[in-house]
Amino acid sequence: MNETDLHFFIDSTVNYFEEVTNEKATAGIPYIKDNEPVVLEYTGIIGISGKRKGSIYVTTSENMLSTIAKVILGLKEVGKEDIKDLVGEIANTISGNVRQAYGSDFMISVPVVVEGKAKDIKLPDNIQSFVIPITWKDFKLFLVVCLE
Amino acid sequence: MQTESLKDNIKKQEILGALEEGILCINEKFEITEEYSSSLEKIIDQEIKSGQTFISLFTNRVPENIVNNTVEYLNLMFKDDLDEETVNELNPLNVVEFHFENRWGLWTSSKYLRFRFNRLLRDKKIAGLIITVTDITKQISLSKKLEEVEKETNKQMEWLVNMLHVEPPLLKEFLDVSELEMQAIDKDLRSAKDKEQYDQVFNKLLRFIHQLISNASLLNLKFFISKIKQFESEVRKISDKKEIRSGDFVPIVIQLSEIRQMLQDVKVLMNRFKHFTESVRPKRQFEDGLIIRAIANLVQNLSTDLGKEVQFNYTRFNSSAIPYSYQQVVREFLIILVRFSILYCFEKPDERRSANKSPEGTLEIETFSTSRVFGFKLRHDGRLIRIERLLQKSIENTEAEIQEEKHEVRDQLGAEVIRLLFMPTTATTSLSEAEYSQEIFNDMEVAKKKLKMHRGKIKIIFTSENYCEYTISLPVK
Repeated sequence: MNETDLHFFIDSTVNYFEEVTNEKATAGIPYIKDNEPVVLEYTGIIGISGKRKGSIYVTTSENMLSTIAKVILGLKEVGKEDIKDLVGEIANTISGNVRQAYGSDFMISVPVVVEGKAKDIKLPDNIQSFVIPITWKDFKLFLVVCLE
Repeated sequence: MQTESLKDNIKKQEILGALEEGILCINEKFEITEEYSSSLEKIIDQEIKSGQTFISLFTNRVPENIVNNTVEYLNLMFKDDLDEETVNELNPLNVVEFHFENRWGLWTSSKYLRFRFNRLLRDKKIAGLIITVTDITKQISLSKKLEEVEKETNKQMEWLVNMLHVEPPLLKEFLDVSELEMQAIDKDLRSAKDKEQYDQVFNKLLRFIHQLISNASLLNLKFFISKIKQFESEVRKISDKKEIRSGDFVPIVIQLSEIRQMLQDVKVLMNRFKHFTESVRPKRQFEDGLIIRAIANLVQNLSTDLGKEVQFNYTRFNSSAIPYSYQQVVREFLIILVRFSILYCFEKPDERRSANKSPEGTLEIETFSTSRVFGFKLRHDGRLIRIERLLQKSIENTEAEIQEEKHEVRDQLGAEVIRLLFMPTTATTSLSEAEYSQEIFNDMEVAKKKLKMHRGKIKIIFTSENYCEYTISLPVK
């Protein structure tokens, strides 16, 4: 993975929040993922294959997702299903944007949503993964990118 | 008639079943006809139903652009007025990567397949296409591997030639220390959130870089030094920016990951060639010369830089007496103490003359050992700096020995000297001195940890106004 890729993922995530919620998110300094798990309450995973392989996932708290869902749907209360859909959609949108930029020889899977704090998300061992911390309002979200 | 047709069908199925290659036919609607070989399902790892479109075999298996190109190509193949051979040159499936996913849709493995197309003519009209599918994964993987190996071999050969003279324990220590430092940097990167913290991270990064360059220089690892210097220029470019955002750290993070990968590759290479290096590497004599040469160069360069004259005496320093496991720590301490002495203690020739001293200062190093301890000393005849003078006044004896954790006052004063060694002074006279002090601080912190790790001790002895001796002792394992 190179600088352009990482910048693209950062911008794509930050833009997502601005477009959807009209409120800017800020990205922290990305870092290399080690053995320490990066998993919060809800995780949306997208598999990537084609010319480049790997996966990306976003992981965040129920509070953050429910706040975003309320903003998007204009509801006072949101259910678990909305929250699950949303985390999948965030992952999907980010990887979709990336696919648009990289062209159609980049395949993305349908999002897989993991509910609850899993031990960790299994990523390919032979590819280095980067963690991009994102802050929106006071909430934390991590985008983990593992791409050849 | 019907029996004959049935027999023909059975025969056809038997033949198709016996084929290793995948064979199928499609009509002009691109639908798979009844005749296909059973190995096809195995090759593409999916069940085939007659009537299913050929294109559907590629769903989630190959990227969209290849699917689109395939549709276009098939349309051309069904055009009677186009030459088959010419159209075949456009075959997008000549070599295609088939992707396989797990139950969550995440990519797990790939196969490389070759699809060949031939027209099936009936009354000189194209009635369909016969498609042959061959699994060429082994062939492709092998050629890819060969390519990679070739690329890797060139790189590894260059590294290996550079690594052969290095003692494996020294290299291992270098890798371990670098890895530890990288972990610390990673930790700092994760917690930095504002400008102040960014500045701190840059300071630590530069310190880490100097440490790496210094350590790699001692081992003469040229390929590594060149990579780190490249990294340094990137860090400096970013740290010089007026306004720094988190995104500016991206190239740093990427390069850090490359350095980490490099360290990992060196480790793998080291393990692979451990025995080889033991038998063919240049012997101790070469390495003994290396440490002395490194220190002599440092004395020469630093004193010239700072306009000082220093005579370096190492006749009583026996580098072959240094236990293997202590070589790195001995080198590091020598470098730090030499830097400290030249920077703070030695006066410029004019000052020395006014103090009735020889214009040229003397710096001596020596080794000593007993059955329990290995140690080395560094002695200089430069001026005693303020903290050393303070220390001297408080000690009644003409020869005082300050040892860490002895008496409260001595502890405190000894610690102050040590701290001075560890910290950059605020009284630097030039930018270059400031840079040197920063480096001393950087190096010393790591060396201090190492000394503690080896249960080593440092003593500072003053025998007169003009004489200061540092003694480092390490237990023999």
